[in-house]
Amino acid sequence: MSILINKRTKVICQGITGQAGLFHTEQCLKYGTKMVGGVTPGKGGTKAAKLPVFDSVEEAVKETGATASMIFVPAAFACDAVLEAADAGIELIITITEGIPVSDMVKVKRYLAAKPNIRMIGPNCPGVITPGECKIGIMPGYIHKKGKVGIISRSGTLTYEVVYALTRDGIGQSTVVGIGGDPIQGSSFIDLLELFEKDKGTNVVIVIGEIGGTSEERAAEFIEKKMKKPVIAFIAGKAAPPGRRMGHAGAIISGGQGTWQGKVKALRQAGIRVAESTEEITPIIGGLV
Amino acid sequence: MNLHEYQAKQLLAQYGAVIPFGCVAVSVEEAEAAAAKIHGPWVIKAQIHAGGRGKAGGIQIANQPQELKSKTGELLGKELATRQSGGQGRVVHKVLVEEKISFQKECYLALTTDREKAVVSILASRHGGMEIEEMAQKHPEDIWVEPIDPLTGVRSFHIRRVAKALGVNGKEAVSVGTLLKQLYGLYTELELSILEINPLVFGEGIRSKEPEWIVLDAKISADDNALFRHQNLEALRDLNEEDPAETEANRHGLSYVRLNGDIGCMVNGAGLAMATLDEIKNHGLEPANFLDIGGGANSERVAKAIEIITSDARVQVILINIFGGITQCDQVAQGVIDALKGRKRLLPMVVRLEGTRVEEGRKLFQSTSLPITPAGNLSEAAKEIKKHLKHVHSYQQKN
Repeated sequence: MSILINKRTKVICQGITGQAGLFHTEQCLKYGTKMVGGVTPGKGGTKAAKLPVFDSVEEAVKETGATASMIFVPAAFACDAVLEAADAGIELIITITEGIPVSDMVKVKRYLAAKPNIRMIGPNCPGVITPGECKIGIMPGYIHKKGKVGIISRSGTLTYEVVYALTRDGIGQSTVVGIGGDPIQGSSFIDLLELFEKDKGTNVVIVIGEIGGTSEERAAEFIEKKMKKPVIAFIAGKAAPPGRRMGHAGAIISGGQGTWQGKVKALRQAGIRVAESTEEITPIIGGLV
Repeated sequence: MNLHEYQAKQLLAQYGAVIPFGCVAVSVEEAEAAAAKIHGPWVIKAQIHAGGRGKAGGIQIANQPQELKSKTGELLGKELATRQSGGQGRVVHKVLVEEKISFQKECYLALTTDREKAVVSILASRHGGMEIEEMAQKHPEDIWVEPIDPLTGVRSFHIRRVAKALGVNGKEAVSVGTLLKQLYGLYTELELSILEINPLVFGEGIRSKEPEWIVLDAKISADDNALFRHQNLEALRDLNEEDPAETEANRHGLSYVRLNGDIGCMVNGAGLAMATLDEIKNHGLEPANFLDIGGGANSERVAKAIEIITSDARVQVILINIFGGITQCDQVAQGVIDALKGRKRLLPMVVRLEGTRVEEGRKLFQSTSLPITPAGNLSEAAKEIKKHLKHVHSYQQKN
């Protein structure tokens, strides 16, 4: 079992003819993902990665029956791509693109609020993987292993680091979700914690947060009130100075909010175990699964 | 990207807000010329990208032209360290000379994007003049937050609630409404991330004899990701306010933040880079910088990163932490080797490589004579760094 995606998920790639879109579509195909086509306006009727390319998401959905989309469209046009996917009824929109203006995400969120059946993951994220079944995104597939640990993270490479350590110790993952490093995200920690709590294939969840915003604090509240499964957290950015953006658009302490100390305190008060180093995570999880 | 106060005020004036009459000056002569056009007494305000200028002596009042001359002379070229300037001083290159406004009431008004609600919110308080962090401690119950649905924009019911929070009614409340609509228009059209007016004062009229709302200080921060749509904002960028290493790094797709220590760090991915700094700090070491080479960096980008780190004279040891996903370890190794080819003075490097093409990367490093110590994980890396630092006389062990 898993959340969001499995071996039956049919996926298209918006921006399939771009360099990154094409490369990662091929990588996903190699992993075994049911990639069924791509969309690049103006290039309909051609092929990319041996898959049919369509001019619009609507056509792609009609012809292929895709329910998920992986978006590699450049930041300036990514908002349009997300809205188009939602308009065409794509149920799972995974946006890898980095650098989308925040005001575009305000509009996207307002639009999606009226479409409760559509879920967006990202932007500025590595994507989602259900090991052994389906990979939608840019994460290296080979470091993953099928298992019972669910992971939700705001960071890419930091997640790979944790996944790699787990796999090396024989601990597999149910689904690994990168929710992205931007200030406004399509899905929050809470949205995914809810899914992992219901998923029979997940026994324990790792939350990988970082400084900036208050989503970890809100997740802590949710975990305390609504979750029975154990949750382990790690927060990056203890050494980050206030007011400075640490690589991710969303990783900034501002107005005294979003500090490492505040997040760790909120999580611990809610009874959640917080690892102080990534090296601590695997032994803790090992004792739980 | 942050703007200067004078730039923020000019934008606000373009959207109809009332600002004091003032001119920006880069020399004492210019300040005197500005003062000749403005009624005294004058306020002289240092233009740097950091709050808390008042307490640091960056805001002066002059009653006489002679006083204006001497106080401007003192401010220009001075290094101003404020509570918000991150420990380092900022050199004052410009001052804003303004008429002094008398007022009966000072408030706080700001617009920012609420990350959790994903809308623009108005923050209002009847306590102006202090920083929002301080206000949140002293008068948390008096900070009103009014989220604005992007579908509706600012409506009369929003205005009534904000006016109530500011403790105003009648004509004052009506003009608050006008101002709010102007601010919301500015914020959304230019895609800002912070628009803060503190204080916003109700005082003697500038445009008419009636008292009115006047923007006494303003701070604007624009969304970097949206700047491609706003070349007029990009033109307001002041490179004096940015760290040259950070600007240079940005041009090459690297993300760099200067810190206070002596360990130069190069990592791939923002989250892993943050975690790396945390980890070495846990071991009592101080990072000199945050540096994320980004996803899929090639050897050229890596070489640039190494150049930036090695041009920082404070750096004693370099820590490289790479988890190759789309980034390939051999590209990283090649970049490091290319950057250091032919250099005489080489800093010791502690390298932790893992992931895609790791064997190829390790082989490349083994084939060179660079002073590289491999490490399996960060605890090991920290130990190796400490060994190197023992040789550095000036280093004071923190553990």
